[in-house]
Amino acid sequence: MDKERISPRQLTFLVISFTIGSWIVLPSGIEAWQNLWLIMFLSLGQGLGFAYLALLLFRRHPGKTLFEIHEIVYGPLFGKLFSLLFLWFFLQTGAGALAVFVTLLKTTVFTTTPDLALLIPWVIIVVYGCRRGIEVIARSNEPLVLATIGLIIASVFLVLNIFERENLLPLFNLPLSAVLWNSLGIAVFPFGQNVLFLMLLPKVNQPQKVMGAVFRGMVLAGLLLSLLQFLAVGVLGKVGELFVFPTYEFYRMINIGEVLTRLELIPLLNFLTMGFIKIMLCVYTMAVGTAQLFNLRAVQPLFFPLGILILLLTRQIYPSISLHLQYIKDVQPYFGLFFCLLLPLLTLGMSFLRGGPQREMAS
Amino acid sequence: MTKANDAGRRRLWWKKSLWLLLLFIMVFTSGCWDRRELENLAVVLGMGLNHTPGGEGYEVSFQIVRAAQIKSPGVSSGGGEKMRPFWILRSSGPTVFEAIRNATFQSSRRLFLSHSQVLVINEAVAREGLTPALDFFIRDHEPRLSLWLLLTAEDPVQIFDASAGLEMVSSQAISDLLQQYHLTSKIRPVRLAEYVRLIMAKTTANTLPVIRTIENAGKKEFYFEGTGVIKGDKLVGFLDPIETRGLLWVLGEVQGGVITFDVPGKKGKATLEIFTSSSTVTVQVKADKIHVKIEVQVRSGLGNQTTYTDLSTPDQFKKLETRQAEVIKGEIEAALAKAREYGADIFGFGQQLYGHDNRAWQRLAADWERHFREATVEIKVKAVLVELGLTTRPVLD
Repeated sequence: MDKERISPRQLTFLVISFTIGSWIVLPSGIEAWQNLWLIMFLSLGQGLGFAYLALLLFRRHPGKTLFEIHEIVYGPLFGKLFSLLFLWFFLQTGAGALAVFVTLLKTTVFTTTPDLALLIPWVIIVVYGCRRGIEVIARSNEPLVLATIGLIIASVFLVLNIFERENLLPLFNLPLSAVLWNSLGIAVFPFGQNVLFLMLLPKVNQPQKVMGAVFRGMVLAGLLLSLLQFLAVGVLGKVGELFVFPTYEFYRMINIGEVLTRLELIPLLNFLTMGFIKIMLCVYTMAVGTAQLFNLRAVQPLFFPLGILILLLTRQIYPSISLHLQYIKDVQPYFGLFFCLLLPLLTLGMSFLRGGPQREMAS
Repeated sequence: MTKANDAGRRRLWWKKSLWLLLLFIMVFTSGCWDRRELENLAVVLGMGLNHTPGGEGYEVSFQIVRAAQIKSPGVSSGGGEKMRPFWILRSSGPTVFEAIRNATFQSSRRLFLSHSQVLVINEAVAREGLTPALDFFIRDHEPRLSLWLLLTAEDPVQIFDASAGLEMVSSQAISDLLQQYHLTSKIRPVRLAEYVRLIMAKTTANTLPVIRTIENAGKKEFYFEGTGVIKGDKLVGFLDPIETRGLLWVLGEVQGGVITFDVPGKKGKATLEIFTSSSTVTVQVKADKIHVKIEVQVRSGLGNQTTYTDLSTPDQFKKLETRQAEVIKGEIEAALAKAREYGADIFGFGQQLYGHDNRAWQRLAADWERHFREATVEIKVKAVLVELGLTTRPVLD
């Protein structure tokens, strides 16, 4: 189990799909809709900052997961407490993605299908994927990410006839406070959620390449999302902020000579795969974390109960899309900041205060 | 040793086959949860919106295709009565959605709205505000944003009931007709998506084409005439066909059509065919006064003349070009005068300002009606005559 290894390249791909994950269908920072593609760069900068801090932590404690670092830094009791908090964070991230995709499917394609009929197969596949291990997830993720990149690049050509430059204007019409708030919203979701990878970094076979791999993944994901957002604004204009799922609506607008229309299901399927990877990573990480928290020897038996847990809690945590939207807008920036910046920063600070022998091992 | 291995392999083979079988069963026996078969659907091509006779709720009318009748047109032999290829249904309810669902009291099949092409709205509904009436069509996943919007003073059922001309169903005919608006450029076709885009621009007023029925040889037929002006989401007035083209010139949407005027200095008329046109609108704000510059460029050709003079000389061309520019300028001015009268920014000057000088827009948007009325507008038309047709002078001059 522990002998599983992924390459830095696979890590990059995992970061891309985890970042694109559910943001692509339910974006944060929607009030800044028209300028979102620009604000994305600001958020990417902040997100890279968060990631740098987290990676510094990994550098000080190479080969250790976040939970192991917690125990080293805070001692067994408080360490476990912090780890427990993060377990909740992973659960909520996974449940959020699951809720988004179930709602998307319910409002667009499977209108009268009950939630459970969608959730159960979904969770079965997630558990199955997790049981196969991170190597398999990482390997199967590669073609999926390539397909997503291909799709987003192809959309540039599909919307040439309906893209209007005027829709992009005005470029800067928001007060500074709104720009900062919305950029923070995007910095924590999707970029900040990458803090989850602290649990997986020890599995990378070339630890010295980890930082580059993570950064490359985040930048690439940021560029892709910004490009997609740029196209969506150019096509939908200001109307885009009206929609719950703007990206879906964007693909609905494609119309080439009345022949190539109604393509929305193809991107939908593609984004579903990104969502799968994201949820799978969340469940996988939760299992690894739980095993370490309770000093269990095997991770394998945990996937199924955790799958059931996420299945049961998704609708408890996100009962409706309107609450979900409000959560993303008003709560998530604080919540995310706590987990993506404050806690890693605190741990890093404590780790420096404690000093210790780890320093020599950092290269 | 080998025997045990063999048995193990066989067991594995059995296990694999069983899984494969299960997979097959899963793939081939599953169906969609909420599948809808074609024979259980009533495919709606056109919808109409009206108030209920009592006044409170909405009455929605539907034009539903009878697919069987379309497949075999004219097969009425055997004495059987030939049905029209569509069925018109009315249904009412306190909201549009409920009215649509109430249609199942009469229709044996569930209404399927994804293929509907036109939405005909009664003027009374439009006068009261379109937002509550159109919310369903934007929110629900079934109707598409490519729906054509139309206004009518009559009951929408009258429009659906009218003869469809060469088509089978009038909704189809209307949709086809709107897409060739460029033959006259005196209609401005508007899709639901465009309506939503403009209404979200806040300062811009919408326009919707007006349709009505006329009597022709004892048969009812539909007819397009003019444009309704929607300020905010309420109908405030109308433009006639010429004013509509004035609007289209400014929007750069004139992609064809003909233009007729008296030949300068001669007795008789000339009709020019418009090939292409383009427009540039610039809006500037100086000391909270709005100055608009409209530049229109037109390419056209001589299509018809009723004078006996040779109009093909460069000298005559020059005169025709100048006259044509004046006529176009007149059309734009007529549209502008109406728009000022209604206080409705149908040209999207505000939207232009929103994009290029957002600070000024934010300052002026609250009182846009007044600013729009007081704006100084400078119109420049550059008309170029490029073609003659197949002849030079008229046969007798």
